[in-house]
Amino acid sequence: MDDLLVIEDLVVAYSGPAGEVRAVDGVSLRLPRGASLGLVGESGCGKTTLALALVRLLPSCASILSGRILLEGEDLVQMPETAMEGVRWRRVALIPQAAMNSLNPVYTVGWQIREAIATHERVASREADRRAAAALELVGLDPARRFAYPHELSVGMRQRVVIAMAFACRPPLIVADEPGSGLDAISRAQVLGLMQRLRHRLGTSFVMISHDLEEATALGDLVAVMYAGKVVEVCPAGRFPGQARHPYSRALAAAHPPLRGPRQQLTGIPGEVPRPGSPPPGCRFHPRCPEAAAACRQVGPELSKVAPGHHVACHLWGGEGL
Amino acid sequence: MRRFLAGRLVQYAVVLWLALTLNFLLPRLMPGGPAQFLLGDEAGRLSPELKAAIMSELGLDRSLGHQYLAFLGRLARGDLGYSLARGEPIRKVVADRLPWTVLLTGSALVVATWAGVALGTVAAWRRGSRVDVGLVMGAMLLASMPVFWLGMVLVATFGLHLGWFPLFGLRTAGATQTGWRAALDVARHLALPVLTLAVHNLFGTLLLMRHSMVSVLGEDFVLLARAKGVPARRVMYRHAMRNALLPVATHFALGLGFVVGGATVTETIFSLPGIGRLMYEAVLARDYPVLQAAFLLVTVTVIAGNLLADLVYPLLDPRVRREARA
Repeated sequence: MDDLLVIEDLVVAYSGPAGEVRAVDGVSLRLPRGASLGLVGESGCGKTTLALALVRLLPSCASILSGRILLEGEDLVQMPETAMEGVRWRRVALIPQAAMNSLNPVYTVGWQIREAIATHERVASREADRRAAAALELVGLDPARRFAYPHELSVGMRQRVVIAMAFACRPPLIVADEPGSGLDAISRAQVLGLMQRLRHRLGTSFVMISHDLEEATALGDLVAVMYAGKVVEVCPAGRFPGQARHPYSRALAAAHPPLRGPRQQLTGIPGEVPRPGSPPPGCRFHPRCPEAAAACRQVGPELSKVAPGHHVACHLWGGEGL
Repeated sequence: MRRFLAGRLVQYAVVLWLALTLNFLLPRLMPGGPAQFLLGDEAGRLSPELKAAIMSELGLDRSLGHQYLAFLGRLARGDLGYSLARGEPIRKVVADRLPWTVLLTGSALVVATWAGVALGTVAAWRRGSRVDVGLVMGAMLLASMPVFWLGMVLVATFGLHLGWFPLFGLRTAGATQTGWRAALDVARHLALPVLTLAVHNLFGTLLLMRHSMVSVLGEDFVLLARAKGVPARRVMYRHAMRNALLPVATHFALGLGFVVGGATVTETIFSLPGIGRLMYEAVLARDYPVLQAAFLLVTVTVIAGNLLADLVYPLLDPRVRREARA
């Protein structure tokens, strides 16, 4: 099968005074070409760490301990840094968290889009400028805005500039870390709609990271739920959250108000995400799980298939255990 | 932009006027009055008639307002007064010496800023490492040495011991070279004083640049630039340094203001005929009019340095440009 991105047993750890802390602990994911994946979970589950690991831009205190990241069959973990520079943006673009604040204040947005293009392609400056203008048009901004400095644009416009930049080199994969957060409801809807349209038009794959279920499922063919550094459930977007199996996935959905349908009582999840340095034994969710059984406290569950394309790491649904 | 400029110029004009006024009042506020100020210890030995004649000659018997207007008028014509100790117009004395001071302190400022920026960047890039700690501690150690001591150590080492550079003065005694040979001779003489001043002033720029760079390197735009695939070296120069240099540019422009008055000790150690040494000699000779003129010069350059910083900053930072436009 033609897989765009395959993550195999990835372990990312931060080293601190308290020792090694595994923020991503044995994550495996598979993304077919053209498909998109929504990655959900509470803050502190390792989503952003995973995103930074994908482009190998982890802070200096963090490192990939083991595992593989295969992009179009090529392992990024083993790749030398100079080769990695050629991969970034051209083959996988990262829209970082708070992207609207990640434009350089002293250069015009046009300059910054041109830089992205010129880093990867030998183009004449006039051609780069034309493409920067086209990229802005693609996201619904006036091409004349390329002469503007970031501070002259609104937050929503800046977010769209970064999206335009991400598409500038037409990468097959874009990793977007909470692209809707920090925006007002209207800008957020515009940005999500824009990404949906562009995705269909250009066939780009997305890894969409969010704590917001709607945002994560907006582009997703697949949804993966992360908890405490592990993937606990992967399923087709259509089955989420209705047919989600893992108690954590269902708890996430129950903590989220549906826009349509009868009113429901919202329920929070008691407790908080365990500190990555000292995860509980057995299933990491068991201290907060309403259905935890004795086995959950001792043995960590593995992902097992419950339906085609639907895998859950939970003793309640697995073949073994219990 | 034009209104912003006009507003700034008015502000600076007011500051300049206040400085001039203070400069006018200073000698008149001293105990003993202007006669004592002008004539020093001689004043007591003069007969009252002679004193009155001098006062009248200099216009000091007229009203304060009258004197003030005359003072401003003289300044407008570029007349700084007359040095009694030297028997020369002060304007000529200053014109002879100012270029050397500007050459000395200007070169030192450029060297200190350049080295401070380079070393501060390295320290920030490798923050927490031995290189970082070594650079900061080393610069602090050098900055905490008194200038005269630092100057003497450099002279002893590079002048006396190694014999690489001349010990003092501006030209080799009896030298008759012209053109670039003369320039080379002057450069050799200025090397140690420039080094002394630069080493002494390095620490401020280094620390400012390091701090500025460390905070910029944590900015989101550095991550985005890396994510774009921009090579690390270019991210450092084009993205991080370009932003980190903004406070250093202000520091530099303010430093320009101190170019005239900031080198008294260095000029004295190395016997260089500059404004700093002129002030030192004027103090020894109680040549108050020269001191008054020197103070005026120092004040005006400090104000000009500030004005320059204000005018240049919008060119460097587009965010300030908008405020300027609004």
